[in-house]
Amino acid sequence: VRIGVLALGLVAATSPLRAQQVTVGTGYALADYQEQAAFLHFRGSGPTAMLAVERGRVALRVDASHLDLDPSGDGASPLDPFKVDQISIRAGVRTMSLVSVEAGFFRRSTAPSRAAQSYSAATLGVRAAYPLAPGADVALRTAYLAGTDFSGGGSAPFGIELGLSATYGPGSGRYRLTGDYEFQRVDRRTDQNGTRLSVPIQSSVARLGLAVRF
Amino acid sequence: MTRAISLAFAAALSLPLCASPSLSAQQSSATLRRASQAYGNLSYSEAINLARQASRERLGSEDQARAYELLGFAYASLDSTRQATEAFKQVLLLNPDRGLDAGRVSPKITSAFALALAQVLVLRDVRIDTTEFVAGSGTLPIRFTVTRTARLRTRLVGPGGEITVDSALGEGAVRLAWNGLMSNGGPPARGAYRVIVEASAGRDSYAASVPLWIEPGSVDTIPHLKTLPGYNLLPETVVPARSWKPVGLALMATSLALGGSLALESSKLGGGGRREILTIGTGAALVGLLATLKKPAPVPAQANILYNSLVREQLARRNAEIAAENAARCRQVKLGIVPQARNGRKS
Repeated sequence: VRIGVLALGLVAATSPLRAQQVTVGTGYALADYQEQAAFLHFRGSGPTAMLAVERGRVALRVDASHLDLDPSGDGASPLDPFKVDQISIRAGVRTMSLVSVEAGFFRRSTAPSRAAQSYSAATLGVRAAYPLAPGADVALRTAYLAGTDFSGGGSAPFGIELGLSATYGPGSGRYRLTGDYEFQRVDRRTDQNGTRLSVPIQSSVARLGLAVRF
Repeated sequence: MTRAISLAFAAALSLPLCASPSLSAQQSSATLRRASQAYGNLSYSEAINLARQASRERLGSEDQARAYELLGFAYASLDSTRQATEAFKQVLLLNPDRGLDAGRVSPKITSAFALALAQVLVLRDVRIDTTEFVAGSGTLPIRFTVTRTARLRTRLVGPGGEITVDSALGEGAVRLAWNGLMSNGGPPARGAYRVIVEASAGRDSYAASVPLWIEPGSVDTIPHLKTLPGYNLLPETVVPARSWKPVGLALMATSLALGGSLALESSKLGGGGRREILTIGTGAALVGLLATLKKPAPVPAQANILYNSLVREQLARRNAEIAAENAARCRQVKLGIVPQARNGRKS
């Protein structure tokens, strides 16, 4: 969070106010979470918020969600529900007319901590945004999750994130309906008594909300 | 009978003469009037005597010229070409611009007049028109006719100094031009000037002058252009025709996200939730549809932008030229030339 606030402050401080475009949004998120095996399947929802600052070719975006996840599926009864706080910070530079290179940070915290893995990772990826009409656009993004750090130990040589977002606003698009989908797969591996275990994590989050652009 | 034929012939000769305005005009001298009447009555000898008598009286130059002209006509009518020529020479010296209408006057008379023109040195029809021009770039035309080959020296004299416009041999119709600059290289000061033309050939010389009023003034500047005539700027954006591209793009993005999610799902975890991608995918497709139905955003018209930049470039270049020309014009002086009444003299 501190890194996000710092980066946001840096972009805001170095940019003249009129040259910036700030978008603030809030909404509701639907989430699906799986870990280790098919039976560890959770579903839930919760509030979400976003803040984006754009100036010329540079953009910074912060997404934060608070989700309440409940067990789902056949083996749900012995599992406990838990809460997830996750934040994603991405700074991007537009390298071509539609494509940006993004680098950022992702953190997911669970409470209680024993219920699921908390982890953080650096992200590096690309985002392609297509303006469809004034006030309407669709974007695809993908990122590699690197340096994943898990609360329960282990490592993840492979982690990937995939996203789809769409926004629509009448008129010039100052007020917009936003939809954002985020799929994450992290191939976590642990070493238990010399045996390497594969403990994959997979989640998908859909955020629906309303944003205002200043 | 012979006398009757002679009278009839003389009457035929004199008919055009009666139409001559110079002889029919009001004459201040009684002698001149009587001479004119005698000529009208075909009494050429009496007309000659009276005209000679009138020419010796104290007459104005116009009347004196009329007296000599009457003398020339009468001599010519009596076939005395030499005396007629001498009389016409006096006419030309007194009134160098005098001419005869060959269509109305007898060839006998006109041939004597032409002979006189060839023998006398005068400057005829010295003419300067009212004009305006920029000193140093325009010219003031000075036109005159010299009756014989002579050295001609044309000067402009006035309060701003003197300048020799031209000095050369010339004959017949001469056309000179003054560039509006004095001998110091600058335009003349405001005031009354004279263009003096001096002709000399052997011992004969003649001078004529035309008084001028010269009024220096500022040169008009050219207004800057706001548009190039005939070249209107074109709109730099155009609204494209409605297309299905937005919905196509949205569906493609949704398909890629859905396909990617399915492809990346871990086999160990089994099928994940589809609710999220279906929700957002449906939303994205709906956004694409709405964007398709929405009025398309204006897009830059590159050809028009290029055209406009060329027009603006040309306009800027033309205005720069105008500015440079105006700067030059601010340093220039426009001369207004108004000729006054002129005279001539023999020396």
